[in-house]
Amino acid sequence: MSDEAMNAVGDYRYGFHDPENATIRFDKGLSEKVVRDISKLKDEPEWMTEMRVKAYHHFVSRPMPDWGNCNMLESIDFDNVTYFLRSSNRTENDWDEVPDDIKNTFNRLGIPEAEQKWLGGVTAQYESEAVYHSIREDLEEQGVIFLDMDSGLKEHPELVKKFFGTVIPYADNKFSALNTAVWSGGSFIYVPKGVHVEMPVQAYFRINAKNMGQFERTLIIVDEGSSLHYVEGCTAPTYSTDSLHSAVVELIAMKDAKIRYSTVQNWSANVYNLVTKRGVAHENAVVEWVDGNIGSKLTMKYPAVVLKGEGAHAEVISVAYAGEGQHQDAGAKVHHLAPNTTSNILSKSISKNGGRSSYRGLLKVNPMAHGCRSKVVCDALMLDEDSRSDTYPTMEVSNSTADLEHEASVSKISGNQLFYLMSRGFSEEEAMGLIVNGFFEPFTRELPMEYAVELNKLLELEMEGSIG
Amino acid sequence: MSYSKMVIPNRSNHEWRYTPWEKIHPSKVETVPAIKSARVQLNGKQIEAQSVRDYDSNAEISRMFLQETNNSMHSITIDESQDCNFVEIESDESQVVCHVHITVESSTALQIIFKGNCNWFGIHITSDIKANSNLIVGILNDLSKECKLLRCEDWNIHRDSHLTYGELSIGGGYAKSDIRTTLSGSNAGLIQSIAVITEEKRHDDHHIEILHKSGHTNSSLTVNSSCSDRGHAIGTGLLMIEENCDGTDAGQVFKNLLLSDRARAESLPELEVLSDDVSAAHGAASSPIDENQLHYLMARGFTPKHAKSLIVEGFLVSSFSKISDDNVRLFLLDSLNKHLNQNLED
Repeated sequence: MSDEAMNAVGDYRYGFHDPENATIRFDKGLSEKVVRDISKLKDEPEWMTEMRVKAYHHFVSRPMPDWGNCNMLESIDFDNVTYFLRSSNRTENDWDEVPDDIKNTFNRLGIPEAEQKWLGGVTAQYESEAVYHSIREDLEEQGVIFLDMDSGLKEHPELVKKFFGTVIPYADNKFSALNTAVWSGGSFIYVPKGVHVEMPVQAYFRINAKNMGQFERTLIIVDEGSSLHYVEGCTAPTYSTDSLHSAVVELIAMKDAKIRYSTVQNWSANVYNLVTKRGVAHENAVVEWVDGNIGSKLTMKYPAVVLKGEGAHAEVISVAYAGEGQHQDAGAKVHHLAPNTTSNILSKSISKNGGRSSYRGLLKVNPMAHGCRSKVVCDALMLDEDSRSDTYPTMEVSNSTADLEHEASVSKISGNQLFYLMSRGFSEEEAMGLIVNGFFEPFTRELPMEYAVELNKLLELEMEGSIG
Repeated sequence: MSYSKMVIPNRSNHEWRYTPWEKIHPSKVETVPAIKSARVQLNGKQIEAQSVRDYDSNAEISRMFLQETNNSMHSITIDESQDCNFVEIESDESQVVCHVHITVESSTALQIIFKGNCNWFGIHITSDIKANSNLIVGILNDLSKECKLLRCEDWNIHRDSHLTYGELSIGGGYAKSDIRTTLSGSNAGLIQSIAVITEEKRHDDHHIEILHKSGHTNSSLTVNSSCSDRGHAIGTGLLMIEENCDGTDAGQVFKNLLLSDRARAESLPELEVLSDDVSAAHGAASSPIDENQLHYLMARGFTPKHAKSLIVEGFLVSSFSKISDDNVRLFLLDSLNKHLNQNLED
């Protein structure tokens, strides 16, 4: 990387970019023609094209949300976004077949190495489509389907048609409509009955081009008595102009199934990250979101779980780090629809250098949800006087047997803790770094080891220069 | 800006999520009817509406509406000449509106009661608690079941002053209260305790904002709601700590006791914090009646209805434990007992 590029990237390690070698690139801007062209290019069935078009019209007619960071939302220029860019003509299952420049990028991100060591399968998406995909043979033999979403639609059209958009319909919100209209890439996973996928499967999303929009669509169905751990990572180069990431993730956990979805979002500070994630848990099923938000300019993401079956459980652990110019508007939503359902939400956030972190949550108990229990804990740390922390929780209870708790606190780093560590020889900066790592520990301990180490490194990097 | 030019708030605004403006408006939403003022008595003497209030062109919709329906104002200054002052706001007109401005320049106590058989009752209370003053206020909403209530309050606490605020909300079948307190001077303090009973079809929506504008201020808010039958209790709180307010200590807790399958409770305790050297916390909890407590009381001879009533009383009485003035505390406790006993007799 040149010195100039190095300066532009600053502390963000993944801010490098490669020359664009697109095989197909659509003109900027969105229209019905663009939507139909994406569908035609992918040779999709008629029902998908029609759903895309309906979603496009809904997106156009629906106003921007009038809550959250309205100023930042209004500054998104949808006409200056590239909605489809194909970098490679095929999805390969051998890294040697992936074009060199793209392969180098993923090598620098450590994906092939991680795949060999501890993953059950990998999808690597570059711009709009997956460029690499593989799954361990033993999982394939057990009937596990792990494909990029485009291949999933081609190879299992009936299964996709049955579940696509059932958890998050296109009319759910403006950005789910946008995603449904122009989606490309993402993961499609089906785990058959009674299969436990022991090693996590991973998807890695990389935006490389300027003013790029990435709209991956993920659909995960885990059948009765099965389990899956899915890990997602994402980065982008640092540009002076903005990019848009608007994904939709739908999880379906059938009776007695378990899904854990772990994300560490580390987009560069020029990316708008407006994501809709929701899971449905049937009888005695468990859906867990482990959600880390470190990067992006504006994140609006509230992983949700609909507890539809009796005895279902939801777990959401989320952390957010908001540095200079960043607004992390994150949270969690849980809908208790069935009796004896339970949920735990733990949210931790740090604001520094004028950053803003907001927790926005919803806990809803329907009249039929007898005996449900839920606990929500939100803790916020503010590291300087220029930063801001908000909490916007909502509890709606329509059943008299529900037992719900919510607690939140906002504070600065304790002087006693700092003093204790500094009196044992740590510099103030090191001491703050340790305290921040400890603050996030309930989150990092839920991550696979490699991710946890990476996250701690990232946080140390973000904490550099935080004193004085 | 006038009311006619204002945009009707929609449900995405959390303040109006559960009580739409259209439902609390006394007539058609685009109209501003001229409404008579209520009778106001201070310590048994009638107070006439003396002054025309300053028009606030930046007011939010409910305050704007109230000032346009009737812009007269009852000004009250309370001092230490009485142990406890008593303000009665009453009317049996079909629709009534009232503006009361309270100035406090010393340490004193005050009881306020709203009552009457009107169909729609609009009230706006504003208050300046001057520097080095201390006010302990107890408010009883005892309007008839048929009444719709739109209530706005704006309390301004200056430096080195303190407000202890207790409220019992049992009246008005459909009630929207918007209570805002500003701690504008350093060392200002607020203790706010609110007890709500929603029974039959009663709908009670409390929006409570506390704004810390100065450092070394403290506030504590407790809202306890008991919901039975088809009652619906809503508590939306917004605690804001502005920049340069170091040394602030603020907390808010919303608790709901749900007594029937069709009762509903909503809690939205929100925080916006722009200073770092502060302590800010909030909590919310909803739960059913404790079966062990019920069993204990019934084993000692109480009927289920009476035992429930005692548990509700204990839950709500705890709201008023921080009110140090005996007159104000007893005023609220007696009103609560009377209400619960009346229900037992029914």
